[in-house]
Amino acid sequence: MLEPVAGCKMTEPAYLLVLLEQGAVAFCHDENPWFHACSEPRWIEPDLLSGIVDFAEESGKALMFVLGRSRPPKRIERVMGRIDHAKIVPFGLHDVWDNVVVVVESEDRERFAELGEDWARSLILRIARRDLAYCSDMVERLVGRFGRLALHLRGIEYFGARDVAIYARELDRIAVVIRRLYEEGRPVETNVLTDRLMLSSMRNCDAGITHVTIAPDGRCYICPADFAIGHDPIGHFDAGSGLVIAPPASLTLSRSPLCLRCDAFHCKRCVHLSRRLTGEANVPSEQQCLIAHAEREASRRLLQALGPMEPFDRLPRLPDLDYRDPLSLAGARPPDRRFGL
Amino acid sequence: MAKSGKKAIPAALKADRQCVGRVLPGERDEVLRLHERRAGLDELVLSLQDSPLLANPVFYDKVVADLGRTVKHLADWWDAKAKKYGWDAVPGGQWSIDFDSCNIFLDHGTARHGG
Repeated sequence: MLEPVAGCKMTEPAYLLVLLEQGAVAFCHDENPWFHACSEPRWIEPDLLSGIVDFAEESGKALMFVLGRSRPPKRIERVMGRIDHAKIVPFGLHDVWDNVVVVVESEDRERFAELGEDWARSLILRIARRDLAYCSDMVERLVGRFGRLALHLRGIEYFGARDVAIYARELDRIAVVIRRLYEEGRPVETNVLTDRLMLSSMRNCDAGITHVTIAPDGRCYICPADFAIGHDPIGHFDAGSGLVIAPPASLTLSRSPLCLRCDAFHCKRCVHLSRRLTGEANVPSEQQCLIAHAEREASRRLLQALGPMEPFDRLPRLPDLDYRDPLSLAGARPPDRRFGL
Repeated sequence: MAKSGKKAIPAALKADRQCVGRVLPGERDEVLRLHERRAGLDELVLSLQDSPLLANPVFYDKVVADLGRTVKHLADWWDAKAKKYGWDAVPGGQWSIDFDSCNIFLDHGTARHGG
C-alpha cells in the first residue's frame, strides 16, 4: 500500500487517487452517497484514464484506483492493467483481485467471516458513530484477516465527550487484542495504536500535498471527500496539459500552528474535516484533537504494557500529557510569539 | 406516488421496503430540521385547536404560511436529492429516511416522507 510522506513540502504530488466511478467507495471519514445509489455506475472515460496512466508512467507518480460497487468494464480494466497500481475496493469486491485494500463498514460486521484468513491483508474498517461501542468486538472478529488495519471513524462532526470516552475505552480493549497478537508473534499494525509508536515526527494524510484525487470527470480535488460533498475542485487533468492544480497553501503542516505543537504524530490531520468544522483547513476541530489524543494515550499505555518485549523495548516511551486538547495549551502556557498563540 | 419515478420497476422491488440510497450527514441535517419544524407546527395547531389564539386571523395566517413554506421546502428537498442521486421509484411508493443511518428507503405505498 502506498504511504504518504508526512510534513514534506512537495510542489508535486507523489501519487494520484483516481476515482473510477462517481460511486467510488468512501474509505476515510467521509461519505459518498453515490456509492449507495441504485443507478448505473458513471465510469471514468477510458481515454481520460489512459491519459492518467500515461502521465503517471512519464512522471513517475504512483496510482491508486478507487472502485465502487461494480467491477469496471473490460475496457477500463485493460487500461488499469497497463501500470502497477494499488486498488481500494469495497467489501463486495474483496475476492475479485489479490492484494487490494478492502474497505469494510461497521454495518457489515455480521459478514466479516466472509473475508478469508490473510495475515497480510490491508483492511480499512469504517466505524459509524452508533457502532463505536462495538469497535473492539469488530477488531476481534477481524483477527487473522488483516496485517494492517486502519480504523476510520464516521460522523466525527457529531462526536461529543461521551463518544470520545466510549472510543477511548474501546481503544484500550483493542490494545489488549494487539498485545495478545504480538505475544503470539503476529506483527500486525493498526493505525490508531501502533503507528504512533514508530513515529518521531508528524505523518499525516497530507491530502492535496503528497496526493490529489482525480474524479471521473477529470476534475482534481484535495481528497475524495471534497468530491463527494461538492467542494470546489483545485484543478483538472487532461491528457494535453497533464495535472493542472493549485492547492491552497494552508494545507501544509508549516501553516498549522496548533498541529506544529502537537505530538499526536499519527493524526490524519484531516483538512477536509477541519475546513468543515472550523472553516479553516489549518485549524483542526476539537473533536479531531480529542480523538487523536485518545489514540495517542492508548498507544502510550500499549507501549507501556508491551514492556520488555522485542522490538518495543527499544522504542522511546511516550510522555504522559496533562491535557487532551492542544488548544488548551494556548491559554495554559506563555504565548508562543511565532504562532500567535 | 413517489416523487420522481423515471425507471422501470426492478424485479427486486418486491419487498415492502428497500434501501435505495443514502444522503450526506449534512443533507440529513437539513431534512431533519424541516421535519422537526413541520412536526412542531402540526403539534402547535393541534394543541391550540380550542384556544382563542388560533381564531386570531393574524396568528392563524402566520402558522398556515409557515407550515406551507416548510412543507414546500420538504418537498423541494426530496425532489432535489432524488434528482441528484437517481433513487429508484415506483408508482404509489414513497421515500423515507432513517435519520440515524442517513439511508433512504422506498416504501411501497404506505409510508410518508420523514423519519
